[in-house]
Amino acid sequence: MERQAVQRAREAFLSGRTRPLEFRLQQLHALQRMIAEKETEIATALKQDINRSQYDTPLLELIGIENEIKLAIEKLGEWAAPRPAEKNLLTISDEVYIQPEPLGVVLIIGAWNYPWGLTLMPLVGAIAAGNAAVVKPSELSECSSLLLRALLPRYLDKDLYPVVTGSVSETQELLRLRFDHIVFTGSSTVAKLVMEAAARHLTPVTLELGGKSPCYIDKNCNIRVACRRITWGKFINCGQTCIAPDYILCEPCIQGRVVECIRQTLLEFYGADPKCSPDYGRIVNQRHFNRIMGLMEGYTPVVGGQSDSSQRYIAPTVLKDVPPHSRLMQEEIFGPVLPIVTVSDMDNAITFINEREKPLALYIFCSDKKAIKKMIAETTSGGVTVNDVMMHYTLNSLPFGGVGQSGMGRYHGKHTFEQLSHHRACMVRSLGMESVNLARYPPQNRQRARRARMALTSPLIDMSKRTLVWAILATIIGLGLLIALLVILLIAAGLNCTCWYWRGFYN
Amino acid sequence: MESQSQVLERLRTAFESRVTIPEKFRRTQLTNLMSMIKDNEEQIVNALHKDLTKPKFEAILSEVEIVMNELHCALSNLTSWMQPEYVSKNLATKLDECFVRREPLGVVLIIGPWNYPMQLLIVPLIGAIAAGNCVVIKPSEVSAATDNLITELIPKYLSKDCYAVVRGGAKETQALLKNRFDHIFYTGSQAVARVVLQAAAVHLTPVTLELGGKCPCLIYGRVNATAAAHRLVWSKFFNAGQSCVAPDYVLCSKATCDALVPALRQVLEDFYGSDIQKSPDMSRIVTPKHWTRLMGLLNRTKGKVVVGGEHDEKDRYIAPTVVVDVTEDDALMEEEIFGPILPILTIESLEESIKLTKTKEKPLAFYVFSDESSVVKKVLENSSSGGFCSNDGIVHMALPGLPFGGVGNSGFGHYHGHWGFEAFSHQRAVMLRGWALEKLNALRYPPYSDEKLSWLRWTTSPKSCSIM
Repeated sequence: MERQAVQRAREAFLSGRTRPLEFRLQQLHALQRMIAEKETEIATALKQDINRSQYDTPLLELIGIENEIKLAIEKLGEWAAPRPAEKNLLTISDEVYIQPEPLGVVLIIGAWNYPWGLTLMPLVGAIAAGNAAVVKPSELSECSSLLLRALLPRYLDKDLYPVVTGSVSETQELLRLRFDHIVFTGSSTVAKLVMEAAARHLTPVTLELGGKSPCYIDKNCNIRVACRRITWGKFINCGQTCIAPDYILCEPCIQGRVVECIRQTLLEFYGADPKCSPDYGRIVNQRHFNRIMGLMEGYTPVVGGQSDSSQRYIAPTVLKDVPPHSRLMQEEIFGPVLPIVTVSDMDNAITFINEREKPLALYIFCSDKKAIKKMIAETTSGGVTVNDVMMHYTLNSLPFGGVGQSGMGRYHGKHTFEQLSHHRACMVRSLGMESVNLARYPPQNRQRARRARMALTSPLIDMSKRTLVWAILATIIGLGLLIALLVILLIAAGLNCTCWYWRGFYN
Repeated sequence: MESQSQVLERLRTAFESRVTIPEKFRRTQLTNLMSMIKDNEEQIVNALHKDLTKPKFEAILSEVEIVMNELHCALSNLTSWMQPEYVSKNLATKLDECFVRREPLGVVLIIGPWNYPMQLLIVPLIGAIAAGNCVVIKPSEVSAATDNLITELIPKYLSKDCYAVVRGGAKETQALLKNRFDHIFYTGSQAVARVVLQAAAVHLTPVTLELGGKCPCLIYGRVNATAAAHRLVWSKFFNAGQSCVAPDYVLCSKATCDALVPALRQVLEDFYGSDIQKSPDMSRIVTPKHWTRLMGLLNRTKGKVVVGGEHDEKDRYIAPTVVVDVTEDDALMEEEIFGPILPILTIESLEESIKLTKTKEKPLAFYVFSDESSVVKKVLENSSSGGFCSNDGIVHMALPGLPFGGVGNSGFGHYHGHWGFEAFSHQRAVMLRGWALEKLNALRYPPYSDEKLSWLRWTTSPKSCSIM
């Protein structure tokens, strides 16, 4: 079944109908309509999958997709146009440009924590770039997965953008087939399998993984505001966000204050009993519930800690003085548990971060610009937000992606289009001007070799600072000389007239 | 002698010490690399002659000049490449500093091939150094003289702590690939590329693959046969056809073929004289193994040899050879030829030719010769390849302004010029927010409401930025 869907998608792609921009725009508009018209159904599916609140759906998923579609529709003409490139002497009369082209059939494997956003945002870019796309939503968010399978063919081209549902065996079956690019969002364990499968067909991949995103709070910053922002980012979607602040790093002297501020903020956000708040989510399934509860074993939380297995509910939980080598600090938490690890100062925090795998996101709360700059310069991560969390994800002019174990490649906005396109280098020459070419043909001698070297040297116009300075100087001198010449001519003309006057020429 | 793991450990320590980060360091290394090429031009030419009997002209043009161009490009532009790139913002982020920072990946591995052993190793190296990485350089053992030269020169000119040459054959390369790198840059064949990718998957290492393929050359419509023959002969027989972007086979009508063959014959004589084996301007096949492979293809072909065909095993020489009446299922159409044999397939219509190329894997380059722009346009729009060039061959890859890379089976990722810098960099998104406007932030906090939501939609919309 998977094989047939992929085969149909390939045939549809080869028919060439995704090439015209009008077709791609039409598909994007249809997708836009789908999001607008089916918001309620999508919200219901998410409630069933992950107890997502009514507001979290547009907030966390739909607004992002809407913005991506709007941007793609507005900019597609610009993105898909040929881009001129710099020439050398040999190619001076040629057309030299880069033409973005579709890759072919792209496979998009979505994740369960944001089943709509993480599946449809890459799809927007795939459509814009002119590809066909096979969409494989996560089986863990089953209602969303089935709804997507029902909705997409009603709005988009049925052959070009099939939805394939199923679990591990169906995904493995898909991965045996050949694609022109695979976009995978998920865990690094599965990512390795995806990349291995892609290797067989020499397929390039974009991997959006995760990791433990550290959150450093400097002792001299506005701790109350910092904690409000961190609390929001940590407990949204019940902590099941790849860029959620995974753990806090701070000095022992402010640890108490941090705990208090988080406690207060939680009260403000979710009330005294978050279980009753319509805005607080649940853990996606029993396995993950057990996993997160297991991580907390042996530790006494200072905030929260309550749980209800029947509802897969874990209260927003904070633990302090967590040892760096505890189980909590070995794997990505991906849940509403926030450990605080104490460090002696910022340098210690930097060392702590650099000793671990490169995270998907780094958060720094600090008021000292110099210190912020230092921390950014001395660490690396997929992205950084300073004095807030997760916001770099929301600006689609910024590339979103990981580095090292947190992933490879990037997307959002124009970056998705670029990632899912082939940039074809094009040179359109004519058969004329053969005399210029003669220098490169054998039989060779010194003269020809020198001419050929000159013709191929790039850049044509040296844009270095030194040349610019000389150019400006030369222009000034040139202008100066010109003015001097004019003055001399004028004087001479004047003298001439005066001379002739005295001679009586004008009498 | 240092083991591979010791080398890697040394480079990783050097990278973690942040010595490659400052612009000054990278500039010094690139300048030293330039000196290395300038000071040793003669030795480079000699080594290339030893390995491939590469004529001095070809060596200078395709292995020295092109590297110097890339170095000039990197040195002129390094400062601007390293600058943070500020991006457009929406209303919610209007007061924030939002930019993309280019950061080095860490310790990267560059595996070079034997056909342009200097260029295809050093040009990626330029990008890797410019981007601030430490580099493990693995030259091809097949081009042994160049391998020796590179091993001798690199530590003399570049920082020993940050850049190391690792030598060896298949066994040593496989052992090297078991280690963890932050990026692998591989130029070579599809078969080995799969092995490289499998090894990279274990560590989730990103890869750039520069492979090859059968680059088709279509000749249709009104064509000046002599000019076309000049350029076709030059690009096909440069380096004795051992170029990943050499035109692999020609597709044209019978009439064009009849006009082309005598033109090719004439041009070959103009270029190399009547006894090509004696011309100093023709290379040789790199190893006896490849010579045997090519002779095998020539012996199995069902086509007719109309030009060339002479060979000399001891000299690893195969004359520039043109074969006509080749069909789709011929031996010469099985794999990338990578040698001085040019099959011509006679297909009357352009449409049929295009259809044939579509049945094959996407090549690294696609060529068309025609005086009619409509023919060029048709081919361009109905094909896919790494790069495209009309009315010439190879030259499109000499411009640092164009990205050089494949698609599909011919590879992924690209480099040259700015793209080389990007290939070895991580684009880190940075958003610097302030403490103010917490009230605006409150729109996103629970408890949620419809009103908050509609305000939020407005502030994060990309359109709201264009009003400002």
